[in-house]
Amino acid sequence: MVDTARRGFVRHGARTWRDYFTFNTDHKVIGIQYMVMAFVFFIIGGILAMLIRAELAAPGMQFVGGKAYNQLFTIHGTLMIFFWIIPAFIGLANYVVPLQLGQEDMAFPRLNALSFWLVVPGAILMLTAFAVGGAESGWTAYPPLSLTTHTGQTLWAISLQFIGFSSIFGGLNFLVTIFNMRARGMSLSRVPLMAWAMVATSIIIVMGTPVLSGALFLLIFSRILGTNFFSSTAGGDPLMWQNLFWFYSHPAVYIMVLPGFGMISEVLPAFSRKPIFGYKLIAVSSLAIGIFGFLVWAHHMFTSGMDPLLRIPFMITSMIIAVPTGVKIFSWLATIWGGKLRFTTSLMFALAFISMFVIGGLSGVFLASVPIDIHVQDTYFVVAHLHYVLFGGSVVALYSGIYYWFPKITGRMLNERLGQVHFWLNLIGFNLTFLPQHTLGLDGMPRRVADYDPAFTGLNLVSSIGAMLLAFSTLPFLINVVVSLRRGALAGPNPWRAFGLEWTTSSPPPIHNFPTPPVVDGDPYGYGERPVPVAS
Amino acid sequence: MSEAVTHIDPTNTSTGLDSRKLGMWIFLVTEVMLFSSLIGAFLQMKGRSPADANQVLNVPVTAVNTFILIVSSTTVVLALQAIMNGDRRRLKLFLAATLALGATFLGVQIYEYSMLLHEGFTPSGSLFGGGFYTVTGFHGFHVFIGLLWCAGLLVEALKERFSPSNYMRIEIFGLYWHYVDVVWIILFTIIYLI
Amino acid sequence: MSQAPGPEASGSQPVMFDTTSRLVAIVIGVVAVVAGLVLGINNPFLNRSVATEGSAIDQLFGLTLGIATVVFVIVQGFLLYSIVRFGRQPDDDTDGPPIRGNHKLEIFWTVIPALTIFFVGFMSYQVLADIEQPQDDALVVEVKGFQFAWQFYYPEQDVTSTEMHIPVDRQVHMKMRSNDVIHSFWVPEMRIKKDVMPDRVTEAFITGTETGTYPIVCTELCGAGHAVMRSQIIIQSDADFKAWIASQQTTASQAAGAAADPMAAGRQLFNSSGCNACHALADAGAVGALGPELDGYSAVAGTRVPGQSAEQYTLEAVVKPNAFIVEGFPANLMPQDYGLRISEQDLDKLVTYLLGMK
Repeated sequence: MVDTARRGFVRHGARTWRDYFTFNTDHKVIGIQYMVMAFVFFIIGGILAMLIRAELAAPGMQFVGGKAYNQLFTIHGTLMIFFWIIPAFIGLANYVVPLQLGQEDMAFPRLNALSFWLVVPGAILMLTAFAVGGAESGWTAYPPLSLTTHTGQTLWAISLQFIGFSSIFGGLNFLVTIFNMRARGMSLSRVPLMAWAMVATSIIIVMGTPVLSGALFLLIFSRILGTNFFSSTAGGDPLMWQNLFWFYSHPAVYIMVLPGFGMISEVLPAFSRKPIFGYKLIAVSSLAIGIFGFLVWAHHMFTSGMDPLLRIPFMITSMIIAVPTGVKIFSWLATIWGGKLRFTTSLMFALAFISMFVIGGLSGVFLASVPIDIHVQDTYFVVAHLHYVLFGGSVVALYSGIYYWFPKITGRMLNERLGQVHFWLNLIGFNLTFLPQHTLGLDGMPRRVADYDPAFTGLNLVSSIGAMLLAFSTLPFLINVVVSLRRGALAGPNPWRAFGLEWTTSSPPPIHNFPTPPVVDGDPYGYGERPVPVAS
Repeated sequence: MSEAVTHIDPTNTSTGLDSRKLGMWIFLVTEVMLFSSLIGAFLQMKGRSPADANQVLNVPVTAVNTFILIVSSTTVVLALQAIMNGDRRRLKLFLAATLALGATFLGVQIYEYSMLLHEGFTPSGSLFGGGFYTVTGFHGFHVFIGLLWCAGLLVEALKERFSPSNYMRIEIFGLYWHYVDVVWIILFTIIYLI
Repeated sequence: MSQAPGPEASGSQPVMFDTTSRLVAIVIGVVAVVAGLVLGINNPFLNRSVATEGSAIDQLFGLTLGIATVVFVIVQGFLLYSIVRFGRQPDDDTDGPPIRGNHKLEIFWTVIPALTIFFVGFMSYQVLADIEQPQDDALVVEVKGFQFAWQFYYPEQDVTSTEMHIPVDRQVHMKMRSNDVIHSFWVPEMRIKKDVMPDRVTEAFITGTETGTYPIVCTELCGAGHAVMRSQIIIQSDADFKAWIASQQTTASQAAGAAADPMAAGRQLFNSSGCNACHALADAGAVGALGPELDGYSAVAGTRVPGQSAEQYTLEAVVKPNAFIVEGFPANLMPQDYGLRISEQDLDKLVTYLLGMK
C-alpha cells in the first residue's frame, strides 16, 4: 500500500482505510473519497427513484401523498445531479488526470482536499432538508412555488451553495493543472482526450456555477430577508429565476457528460487497438460544446411566456449544438471500425454508451424545435430524454471508466463474468424503464405527477418493472467491487496494454505517482504505430 | 520516505505562467460571473420599480468613498512596485495604507447602510431596495475578505517574509483588490449615477 | 517483471462472444425487437390531434422522426456491424491499423448534420409562424389558473365556467394568468401548451377541428395538487356552443337572484372556486381526493372544534385551513388565501350550502 505523511491535521497518502476519512491532499485519496461518497448518494437517489416508480406502477395513490411525492422527485433529482454524477466524475478525473499528465499531484492539493470536504456539509444539509420537509418544488425550484414551501427549501438552497463552491474550486484546479503541469514533451496536441474533456468541463464549471450561486442567494434572501426578486405580488419577476437558473443548469448538463465523453475516448482506442479517430476534432468539439452550451439555456423556457421572438435564436443554437456532439459519435464509430475489438466489460459499456447517448441526443433535437417542444415540454418525453443522456450516457460512460481504471486504482482486476451480468441487467433494465416514457409524454402524461390518467397504466407498469431490474443490476457491480478488492486477480501496471502515462507506473501508483518524472514523445494513442511503453 | 505534504512548485510550469497567478485570474472569472448575475438581477429590479437614486441615496458621500477605494488600488500597485525594487519599508507602508483606505471605505458603507435603514429604505421594502442591498452587500463582503487578506499580508511583510524574488502573493492580492475596485466603479455608476 | 499475469495472458477470463454469449445476445435481441414492436403498435406515439395547430406540429414531428430514424439506423447499424465483424481473433494480440483521421470524412460528417439541422430548424420556424397567427374573429377566453383548478371567463359573453367550451373551427385566443404560482395550460390532443404566470398575462391560440371532450392538464409543478389540477375542453358545433353560452348566462342570472335557490348558488360557487379539485361532494358532482370528503359534513361541522358553531367552523375551515387539520391530512396543503379570493357574500353562500345538505 502507499505511504503516508502528515503535517498537522493535513495528511498525504493512505495506508489504511482510516486515512480515507481525513483531510488528505493526495489526489488519489481525494478521488476515491469523491467516488465512494458519490456512489452512496447514487444508491440513496436510486432508492428514491424506486419509491417514485413504485407509486407510479399503478394509477391512484398507493404509498405517498402529493406533498411527499413532490419531495421524492425533488430530492432524487438534486442528489443525482449534485451528489452523484458530478462528484463521481470529478473523483475519477481527480485520480486519473494527474497520472495521465505524468504529475505527482494536482496544481493545488490543499484546495483539492477542501473541494472534497465542502461536499460534506452540503450533504448533511441536503439530507436534513429531506428530513425536515419543504424541498418540494423540483430540482428546478421555480418561484413563486419555491417561496411558499417549508424550511427544507432554504436548507436545500444553502446545501447547493456548498456544492457550488466545491465545484468551482475543483474546476479551477483542473484548469491550472492541465495547462501548467504537463510532462516534458507533452504539448497541448499530445494531451489525452480525458484531460481535454476536463478542460471543457472546468470552463463550464468556472463560468456557470457562480450564476447558480447568485440565483440561489436571491432565493435565500427572498425566503429569509423578505426581498422580492421573484414575488409577483410585489412586482418581482418569476421568469428572472428561470433565466438565471437555466443559464447555469443547461451548461451543467455538459458538466455531467463531457467527462464521460473523455472516458469513452480513452476506452475505445485501448480495446480496439487503434488510435482515436479525429483527435483534433474531438478536442475542439469538446471545447465547442463547452462554450456553445452557454447559448442555449432558454430552450427550457419555450413555453414559459418568454419573449416569443427570442425563442428563434435559442432554437437555432440548441440545434447547432447537435453538430459537435454528432462529430464525436461519428469519430468514435470510426475509431472502432476496422479495429480488433476486445469485448471487456469496459468496452461493452462504452459501446452501449454510444448507442444510448445517440437516442438521447436525437430526442433532444425534437425538444430543440419550438413547435414540437410546445407539445412535449414538461412531459415524460423530457424525462425520457434526460435519462437517456444522463443515465444511458453519463452513468454508462462512468461505468466504462470504472471498469477500465479499477485495476490501476486498486491493483486488482474486476471479475469479467460479474461485469457481464451487471452490463446486461443494466442495459435491459434501463431501456425497459425509459423507452416507454417517450410515448407516455407524447400521449399526454405530464411530469412530476403522483397520479395519472388510467389510460397510461400499461406503459407505466412496464417502466416500473424496468426500474426494479435496473436497481437490481447495481448488485452484481457492488459485489464485484467488494470481492475483487480482496480477491481479484493482481493487475500489474498495464493489464490492458494501453498507451497513456498512467499505465507506465505500478498499480496502484506509489505515493508520488512516478519514481522519475516521465518524458513523452507522442500522444497516448500510438496503437499500431509504436510499442506500448513499459513501466520503469 | 515520509516527507512533508507534497510540494507542487507553482513556478515550474508548462506555460511559464505562475500557477498562483493563473489560478487567481480564473478565480476572478468566477467572480465576474457572480457579479454579472447579481447586477443583472439589480437592473431587472430597477427596471420594474424605477426609483430615483438621488432621492434615496447619498450620491456625494458615496462618490468620495469611491475615490477612496480607487486610491487604495493605487497604494497596492505602489506596494508591489516597492517590493519588486527591494524597498521593504515602502511595502509595509503602502500595504498599511491600502488597509486603512479599504477599512475607511467599508466603514462609510456601513454607516450609509445604517442611515438608509433608519430612514426606512430596507431590502424587503422595495424591489430597488432588495437589489441595492444585495449587490452592494456582496461587494462589501468581498471588500471585507480583502481587508482580512491585506492584514495577513501586512503581518507577513512585518516579519520580512517578502523579497524581490518572493512577492507573488502580493501580486495576486493586488489582482483581487483591483477587481473589487473595478466592480465598485461599475456598481457606483449603475446604482448611483444612472 | 514478476507479477501475476494479467487477463491478456491467462485463459481463465471468459472469451467474450463465444457461442453461449452469442446465443444469449441473439435471444435477448429477438425478444426485445418483438416486444418493442408489440408495445409500439399498441401504444402509438401520438394520439390523433384535434386542432389545426396540432396537425401542423404532428407533421413536423413526423418529418423529424423520419430524419431521426435514419440517423438512428445508421449509428446503431455501424455499431452492430462493428461488433459482429471486428471482434479480435482469439489469438491475435496485435494492434489494428493506425488510422488517425480522414479530413474528407470529418468535413462530411460535420457539414451534412449541420445542413440537416438547419433544415429541421427552418421547417420548425415555418410551423411556429403558422400556428401563432392571430385571427380577427378569434373567440377570447380568459383562463385563470390557481391551486388546484382552472376557471374560464368569456369576456364578450360574461360567462364563467370551470370547463372550457369552444366552438369548432374557430380560433380561440386565450389570455391566461395565475392567482398564485406558475401553472401551465396543456391540451395534449391539441398540442398547445403555455405557462400561466402570476405576474403577467400569457397568450396562446388554439383552433379545434373536431368536436369532442378532451382533458386539460396542468403541466408545471404547482404544489401538492399538481397531478389533479385538470379540467376539460369541450369542442362543440357553433350551435351547441351558443346554446351552452345561453344556458350559462341564464344560470348565472338565476344564481344572482340567489335567495331563490341558495343550494344552486352554493353548488356553483363550490365548483367555480375550485373546491371540487380536492374535495369529494356527491351533490356537486365532485370527486376530489386530496382533502377530506364533504359528504355528510353538516352532521360533524359543529363538533370539530369545541366552542365553535358549525357556521364559525366552516368559515374558518375555508379561510384559515391550518387552524384545524382533519386527522389523516397534512397541514399546508389547502391554499390559505381563499379569504382574499372569495367575497364575503360568496363565503356566506358557501357556508350555507355546505351546511344545508343532509
